[in-house]
Amino acid sequence: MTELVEFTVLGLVLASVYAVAASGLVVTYTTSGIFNFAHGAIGMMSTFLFWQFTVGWDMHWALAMFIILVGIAPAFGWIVDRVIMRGLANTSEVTRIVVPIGLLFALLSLAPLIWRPTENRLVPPIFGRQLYDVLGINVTRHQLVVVAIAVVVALGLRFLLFKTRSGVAMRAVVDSRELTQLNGASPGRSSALSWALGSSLAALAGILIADQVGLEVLALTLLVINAYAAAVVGRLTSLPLTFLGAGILGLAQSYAVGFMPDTPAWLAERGIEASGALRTAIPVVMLFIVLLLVPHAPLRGGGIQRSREAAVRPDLRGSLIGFAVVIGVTVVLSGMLTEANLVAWGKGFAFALIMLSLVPLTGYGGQISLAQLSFAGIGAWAVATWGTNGSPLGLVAAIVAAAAVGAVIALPALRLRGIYLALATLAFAVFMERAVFTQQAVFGGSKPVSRPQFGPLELTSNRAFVIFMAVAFCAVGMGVVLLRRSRFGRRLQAMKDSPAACATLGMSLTTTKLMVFALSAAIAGLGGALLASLQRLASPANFDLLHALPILLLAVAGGVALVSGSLFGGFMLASFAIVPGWIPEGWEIAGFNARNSFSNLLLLLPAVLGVSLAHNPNGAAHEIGQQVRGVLARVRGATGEDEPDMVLPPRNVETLGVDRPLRDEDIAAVDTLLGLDEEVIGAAARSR
Amino acid sequence: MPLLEVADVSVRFGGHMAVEAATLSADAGSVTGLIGPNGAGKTTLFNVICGLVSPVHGRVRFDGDDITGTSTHQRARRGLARTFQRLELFGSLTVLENLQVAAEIPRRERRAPVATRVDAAVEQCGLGPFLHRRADVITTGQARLVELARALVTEPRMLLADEPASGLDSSETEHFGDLLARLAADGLGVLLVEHDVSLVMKVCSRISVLDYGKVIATGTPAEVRADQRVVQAYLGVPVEAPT
Repeated sequence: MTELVEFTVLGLVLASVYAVAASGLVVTYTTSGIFNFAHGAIGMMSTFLFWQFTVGWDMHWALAMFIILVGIAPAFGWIVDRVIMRGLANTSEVTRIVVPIGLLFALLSLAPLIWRPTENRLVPPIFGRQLYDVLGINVTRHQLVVVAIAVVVALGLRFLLFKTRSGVAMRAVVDSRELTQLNGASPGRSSALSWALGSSLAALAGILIADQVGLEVLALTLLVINAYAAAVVGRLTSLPLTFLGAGILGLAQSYAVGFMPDTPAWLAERGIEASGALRTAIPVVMLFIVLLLVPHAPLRGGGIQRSREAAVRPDLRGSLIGFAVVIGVTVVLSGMLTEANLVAWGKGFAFALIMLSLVPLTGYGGQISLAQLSFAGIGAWAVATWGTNGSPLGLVAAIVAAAAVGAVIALPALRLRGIYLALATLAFAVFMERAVFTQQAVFGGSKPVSRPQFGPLELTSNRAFVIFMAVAFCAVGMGVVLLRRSRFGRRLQAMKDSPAACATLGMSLTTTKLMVFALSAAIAGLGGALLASLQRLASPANFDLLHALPILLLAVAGGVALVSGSLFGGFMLASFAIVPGWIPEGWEIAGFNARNSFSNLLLLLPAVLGVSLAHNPNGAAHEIGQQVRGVLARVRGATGEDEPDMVLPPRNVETLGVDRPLRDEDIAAVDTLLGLDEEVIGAAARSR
Repeated sequence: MPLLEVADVSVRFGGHMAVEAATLSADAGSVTGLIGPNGAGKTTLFNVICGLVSPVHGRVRFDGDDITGTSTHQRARRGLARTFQRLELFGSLTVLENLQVAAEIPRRERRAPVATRVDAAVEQCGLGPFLHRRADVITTGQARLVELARALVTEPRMLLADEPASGLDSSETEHFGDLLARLAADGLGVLLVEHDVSLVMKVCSRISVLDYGKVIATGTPAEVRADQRVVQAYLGVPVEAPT
């Protein structure tokens, strides 16, 4: 009985921290409409700052807390809203999800640059270890204060949202941004205020839990997944239900530590550690289950979405030339590169393939997945298991296994859309990382992989294998280009634009989503298998969330609707291993090792590119393509031939003709505005 | 037997009864009107018929079969098509691709080739001049025609048209009305929700009037026009002048 009370109290303390973190998430989401994936990272940075102030600079904890919670954290939230999130108006759901993930990754990469991870840091429980007797068990003062703080936060938020002018305006923005504006309130101000408040709550949660989790960048950042699970119970909008969710999760975790039986012997003998895996995976399991259980809005028409993203229909000739160039360059360059750089070049193709898996899924079909690297991990495992002695069956097994898991995981996720789908796939990815890939029976630390052999065709040399990877990427890439031009490609694009219209025309969204999820997982599985074959090693370390984030960021930053975008993203990621090597060893700039510093700065690049999507949602490959086409058009002297096979979204007429010459789409927008169709324009031209 | 029957359907959104025990029917080969003031529940009823909203009570029958529990896409495959009050075109596709997507959705029964059905709908709705433009840059009038054409390529037996004339000028509305009448003459059943009363009176053979979620009158245009409850629903109850 005492044990039960003990674990209940511990659970409630955990729950209090989750509640504080989750309520910050909910306040930001309901007011600004943007799900702050970086919530945990903001808490992590704040906690490190707190350590710096209190331990590093000997500041009193109360003053440090005041400076962080009232000054730095809210200011950061305010600035993030003003500078980054404000730019997300009229962008697709994918962009609105990826930009905060960019911010998460930026903070995750930045923190170890400021606070070197090699140093051991401790945050003592702020409110002391003095013990009190509660219901017959000993509780520290820190634990009591944490619970009290959660209660104060709950009451404070209730007061703010219902009794103050700013709070009412924040709630009004949720209902109707336009109406709030018409009534004299400023939605921009409300949204900035919610970001400030959210950041402050993230900081508070981080500081409160630091004594339990330790000052560790990734652990503190990923604590936010627990907050996601709690917030989803409240459907990201209800604060009371969010607090309930936090309570359930805190208690479940605490009871699991106290009462979950050990793994049965028959499982342990087979290298499966079920109990420990389940304990660490409780938050993601809860997140996944709740996502499937909470009722979701039915399909509704939302009118034609005018998004800033361009929809691209790739042209065949250009794609063929592009693929030929990729293979040609690889053949030539692979004879010149060092072995290490050759492997890095090969990794570029593996990453590009994994990113390519997002093109049909996200680029064409509008479905979001944060689990692509997990499918790649399944591919790596399959090739290690069935590809022994160079059997090409390993690659086939990788494709089939990943597709099968992709379809199985898609089944429950089919009814989810947007942010809920993103969270469900994230939960799956973290589950695979924590509970599956770590098992002795799966990777067992790491597995050796032999490279496939096709009859007499030997791929044992790095050069031969990298050329094979280039050909594989181009073949799959061509398939994806043809897919976009096919019936299925049109279906995917239609599903992205209006699921409601698709259903009323007779399209089964379930089948379409299932097919595209399986296809996408298969491509990622192939990418993972090739990566493992290239390295001759399948290791779970390659497929964790920390590696998954830059893959998603660079895929979208490269251009998620373009095959060239994935190539751009893949090689950008691979170049991080090559480029710093060009700086001579031992060079110093202002006392810093130039190679290491540059290497560290490169780590920030995916984040910067991800965040920059707010301003350029089409991605880099699209922009480069536009520039190249512009130059080509000028060289050809604007003969009108070879018009780009690309349809651009309309622009606001207010932006026309101010500081640049009119483009075709500007004229089309004016035509639309004036209600002119080709017939009228043609007649007018003839009469002239 | 009517092609489409809605029997005693009720829809509740939280504490609000959006539709209450509504009963109506629509025949093949004619245009049936569904009118009512704003917020009367017309679009909600459409959503129930095509399966986007589940009723708390009542049945929907199509061609004699109870389709209340079937999914939206299965209803469409039986021959039920619709257009939307707020346009639901595939904005990133061209007008032609919008039609192709709809025409390519597989059905069990044998139909004319995709290209034949698309060409026929393009011709019927006059989409030629803007066939290759992106669907989110065309005018509202053009977009209404594209939505109609996109529904027609699925070869429906019953078309639910949700305020097809909103956003159209008078000549476009007239043109649209003529088109609906022609389609009905060719055997298509049309259930028309519309605010433009003159259009409804002109093309509909029967009209149902919805107010506060209830069907308050059903009859020919002349009968409905003369019905006191309809007049009150639209104009309000006359107040006795103070003496």
